[in-house]
Amino acid sequence: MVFVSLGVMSCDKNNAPTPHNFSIPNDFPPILQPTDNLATEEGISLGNKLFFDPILSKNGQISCASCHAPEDYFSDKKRFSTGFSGITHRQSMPLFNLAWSPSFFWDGHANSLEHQALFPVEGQNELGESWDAVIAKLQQNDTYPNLFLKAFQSRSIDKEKVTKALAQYQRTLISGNAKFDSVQARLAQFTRKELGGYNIFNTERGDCFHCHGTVLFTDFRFRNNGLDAIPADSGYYLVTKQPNDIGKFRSPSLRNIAFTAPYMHDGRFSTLSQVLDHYSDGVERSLTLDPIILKRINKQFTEAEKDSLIAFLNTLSDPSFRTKHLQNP
Amino acid sequence: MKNVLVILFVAIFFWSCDTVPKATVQFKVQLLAGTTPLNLNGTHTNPAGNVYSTQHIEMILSQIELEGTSGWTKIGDFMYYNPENPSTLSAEIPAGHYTALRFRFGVCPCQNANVPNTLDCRNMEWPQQLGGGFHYMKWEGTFQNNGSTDAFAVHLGPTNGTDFSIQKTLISHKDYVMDSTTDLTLKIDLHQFLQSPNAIDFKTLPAGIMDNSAIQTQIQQNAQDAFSL
Repeated sequence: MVFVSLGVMSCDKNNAPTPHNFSIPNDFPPILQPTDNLATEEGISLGNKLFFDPILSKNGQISCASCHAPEDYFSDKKRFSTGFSGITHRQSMPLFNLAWSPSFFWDGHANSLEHQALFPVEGQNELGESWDAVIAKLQQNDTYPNLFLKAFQSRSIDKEKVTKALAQYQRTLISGNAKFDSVQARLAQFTRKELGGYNIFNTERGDCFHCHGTVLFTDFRFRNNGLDAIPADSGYYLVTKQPNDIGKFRSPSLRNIAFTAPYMHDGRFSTLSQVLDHYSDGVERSLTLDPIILKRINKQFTEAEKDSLIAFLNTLSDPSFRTKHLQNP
Repeated sequence: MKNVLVILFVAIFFWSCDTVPKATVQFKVQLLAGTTPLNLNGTHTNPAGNVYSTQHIEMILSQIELEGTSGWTKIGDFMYYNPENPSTLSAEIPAGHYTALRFRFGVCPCQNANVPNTLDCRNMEWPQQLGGGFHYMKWEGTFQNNGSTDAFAVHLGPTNGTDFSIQKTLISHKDYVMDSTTDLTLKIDLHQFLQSPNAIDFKTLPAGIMDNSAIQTQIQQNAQDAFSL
């Protein structure tokens, strides 16, 4: 009797998924994972497979990676992405350092990665499938039930487990190995031009840091950055229904910005020069224009300042992140 | 016999510890625009006559302590406060009578290394180029200026490495008896930051004040009267 009990206990222990140890870049804040979805090696591996598998789409041809391609830092080079039936109406955001984000999508309509992963499956201009159909396909698949068993100790698949696995995988997309980080660690030095850009960025001359500060290069807040006098897309207002939030979108991280064009929620700018031209003399006034942006109106950048800022922004690129995740799938 | 005495001594020691009565203090912040609570969805008129609305405000308080009959008791090292998502600092303290609150508006440079590594606090970082450390307060909004809308940004912090944080001790007009759970609210009147002895008008406030020690000094002087219980 004792022998049998010990045997069963050992089996349970052997089947338990292996906790994942995150490798957090120097000076980043700690990761706050939901207590009911702590990352495991098996969960991450499953999420990785699901992310690249077109089984989640109605036509079996589109995966998460179709619009969030690892070679493009998990973003899309196209202004709008092509989904099951039509194109998206916002630019596909790059995916990295999501483990620190308190909200998701340009308008913040999801408050966790698990919550976020619910939406694209049923979006007609994304994967265009029903969750019931996705679950049925995964359940009937030769491989997935065993992978779910390893990750969640059950062959029974539901959308909660699918979104949990996707969230676990996406939390591992961590980018913090840019030249900027080497400079902070005193392992490298900025060039004269990069340093000039860094100083403009971090003083009220450029005043970039109030929206794109900290090691994450975003404050994760929602702001109207003056793209339109009358915003065509109401942005954060669609979530809060507060008139003060019309035309506000989440400040994106500037890490890897050199490789994640096009820019803005609608991908209207294809180069960093165009972005700086906007902040220099293209800002449109509106009722909800952010005070930090409004304060900058009529403070044009010189061409030399723009060059310096771009040189600094290029130091935020982390090619090792791209290389690592190109190999991963 | 010796063992029995040791056990008795330990038991009495722990019994004594257990019998020290405890109370919970819930430390809160209320922002005022003059005599009225700050309305994030409305307008106020500041002492200079500027009609303004606040889009965003956040601040850090530190070294928060209460004075009671047995001296000063710490209730928190740091408190990040943002009225859009207001936090409460909760602490267990010895039950008793308390008559004064001591705190620092902002962060002493000597405490920079101890500021919690959270997103909220990290977002308060003050760039190295401007002295390094943390914003004490970010107060941003818009105001009416001769028929058009302009922006103001009151960003307070350690300009050029100078400590402009404010340590205050507020003597309560009443005796706080902490015996179970008691709320203690620090009121911060934002208009006092702009009023006296240095009148500050949003129309003449420089666009950038983070490298302006003169303005930081003026606002620090004004803010001495901004806090009450």
